[in-house]
Amino acid sequence: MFNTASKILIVDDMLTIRKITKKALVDMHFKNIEEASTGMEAWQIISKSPPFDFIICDWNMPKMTGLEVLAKLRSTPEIAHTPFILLTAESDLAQVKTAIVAGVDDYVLKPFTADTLKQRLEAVHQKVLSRQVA
Amino acid sequence: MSAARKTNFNSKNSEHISADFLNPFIDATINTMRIQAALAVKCQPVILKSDFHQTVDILGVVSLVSRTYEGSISLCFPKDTFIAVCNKLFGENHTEISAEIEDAPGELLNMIFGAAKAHLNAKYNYQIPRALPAIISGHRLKLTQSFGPTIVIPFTSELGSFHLEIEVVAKK
Repeated sequence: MFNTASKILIVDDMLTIRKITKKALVDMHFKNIEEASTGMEAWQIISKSPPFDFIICDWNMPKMTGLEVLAKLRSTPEIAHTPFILLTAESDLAQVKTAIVAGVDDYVLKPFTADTLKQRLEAVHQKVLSRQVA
Repeated sequence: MSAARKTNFNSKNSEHISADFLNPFIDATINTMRIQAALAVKCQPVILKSDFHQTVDILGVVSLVSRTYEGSISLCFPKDTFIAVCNKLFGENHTEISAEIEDAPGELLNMIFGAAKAHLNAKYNYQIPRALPAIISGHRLKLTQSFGPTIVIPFTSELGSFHLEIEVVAKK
């Protein structure tokens, strides 16, 4: 089970998704949640803050997409391994492959339930623990 | 069974819109409302917009372009239904359309569009690209699309009715 003191960043240009995601995380007893409404705002927060335990980020955002945020993250050595979950309505197989190749740790397809989000967070947490053991 | 599967389009202007094209949008709408808002919705028979009269106070709209069609799709709500859906979606108690909730039709449409697009592209090779929805809010909006005749897919639920408007024409 993950630590509910984990620091989580939600990135989505739509307030609706930030609210739904935050509500699900609060219901899971997470307390340390930050939000960004653009990719650029997200990158400012990420680059100035201590590392996040999870980043939950939308793909399809104007100006700076979720995959562009991910590319910057993965190319910054101190925070390159930050767990990154892509939140998207894109379910085309080609799009899923693109996200995996780009280095996402997991992929949550909209629409989603709080249970789905919890399962994906737990799966990513286990993946992080496995990386640390290895 | 989706309403489009049971509907026989008689209009000369809409005969190029097949049930195969409409059904993914119907299924995605039912699925999106069930999963994201825990709301059971029922699709009513598909009709032409010229025969449909329902108040629209807020909507999300996205362009719908494929290798054969071009047009748009809109998710349209009257105020009371929209506020009730948002209160269920967020577990909040809104009484008016405000900045706190007004992007909801855009995001719900984004989910519907994403799922329908994936199905149409995978099964029929429509080659529909990604698109970002826009939101229009106002009192008793009157929509007049520029492409041509519009198909309306009405939905009912315990929180009220809403509808999709799909307007596509064959590319020249």
